[in-house]
Amino acid sequence: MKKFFILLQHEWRLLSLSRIGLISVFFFSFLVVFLLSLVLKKSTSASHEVAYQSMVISLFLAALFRFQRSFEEEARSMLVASLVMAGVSPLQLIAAKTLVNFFILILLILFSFLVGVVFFNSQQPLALFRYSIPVLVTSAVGISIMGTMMAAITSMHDKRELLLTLLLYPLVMPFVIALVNSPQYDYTGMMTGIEILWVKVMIGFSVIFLMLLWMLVDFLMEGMSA
Amino acid sequence: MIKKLVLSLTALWAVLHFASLYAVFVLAPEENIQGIVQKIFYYHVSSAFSMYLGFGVSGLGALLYLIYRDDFWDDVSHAGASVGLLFCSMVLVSGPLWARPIWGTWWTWDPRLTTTLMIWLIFVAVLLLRHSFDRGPRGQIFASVLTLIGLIDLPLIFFSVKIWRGIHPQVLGQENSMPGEMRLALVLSMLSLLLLAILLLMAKTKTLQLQRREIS
Repeated sequence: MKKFFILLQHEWRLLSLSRIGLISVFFFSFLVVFLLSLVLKKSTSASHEVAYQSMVISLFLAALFRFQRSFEEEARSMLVASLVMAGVSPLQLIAAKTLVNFFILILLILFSFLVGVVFFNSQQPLALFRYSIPVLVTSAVGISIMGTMMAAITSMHDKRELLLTLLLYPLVMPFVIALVNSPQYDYTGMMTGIEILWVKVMIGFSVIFLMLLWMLVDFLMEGMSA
Repeated sequence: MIKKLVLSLTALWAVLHFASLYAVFVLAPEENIQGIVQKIFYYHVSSAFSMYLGFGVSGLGALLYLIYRDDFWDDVSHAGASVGLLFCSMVLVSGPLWARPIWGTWWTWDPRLTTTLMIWLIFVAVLLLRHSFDRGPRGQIFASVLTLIGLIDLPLIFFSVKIWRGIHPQVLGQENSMPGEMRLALVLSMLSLLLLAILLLMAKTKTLQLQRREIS
């Protein structure tokens, strides 16, 4: 457990060193929401629905940028092989990175929510917050697990930006489907609730991804140090 | 001996193939409501089962490679992914061809259709990953890991109609759903496509083994 907290500290330190990278992720999220509000402003008057959908799209696109940087340090040096030789558990290393990525995703969700409320002129932001944020946070668990795993696979490849996108998006499709289908709207477009079934789907997939991480993490580390 | 086995299986496949063609287009009657379009069903369902076989073999190969680190199992996994993807593509093409005249739409976000498209995307990603890395141990390990992750979708396809409501028909398992001639046509076309899948698996595995020998 002590090693895990040391790794976590190391990840936070790396995060603070790459401030520009972090700011660029949030800036990209802002650009996505802004672009969508510009493109969609004439197509619909249901601002709650579109604001929520723009948050979902912004989360997925901006998260990709974050995942690409997850193993930047390890890709530059032979850090993975050194850590494994020093007796660091692969599961602890990946878990620390996943936790940091999850934290960034939460911040991204809150940030894109604020931007979305402004640009889509949401009249009832609290209603949007009450239903959309818990659902997005639930999905962020599974997305951060799978994103970190795919980032590990693609970290050593010179075309990692493209490869990460192609590998990750099919695997997180269940979350996209669940996120799109979960909100309930009334006739004015106001978000009135969440279908619990889809939240259960997201939790189910997050649990499955967690089990897959636990089973396959040793092979991931072996591949990275090969 | 392997050569004799392959030749025998090929001959058997040829017989089954022509028998299934006769059964589907001559023996089996046209369905009352759907008409001749219904006959796509024989190849659509058969392709789906061949898809399950291909992806299942790929998963098994991936697991055995990670356990034994024998290149043969990696080649089996690769072959399974390719063959499974081929038949998955056939499912995704034949389905809309049937759906358009019957449902009035090429595509709908029905659970079974969506999960089938998902597994198609996942295994395209698996093959892209294999081609992006060289055939060294790193690429093999990562491809095997991704294959095992992608396989979580396979049971979902099969059970999606039971878990979620959808409009995809559930013909198999329903009692008295088909007359005898239709059942015969379905069985023959399933056997024919399953045997074709097995032959393609063997051919692809052999090709990959020869490529590996050439590289080394």
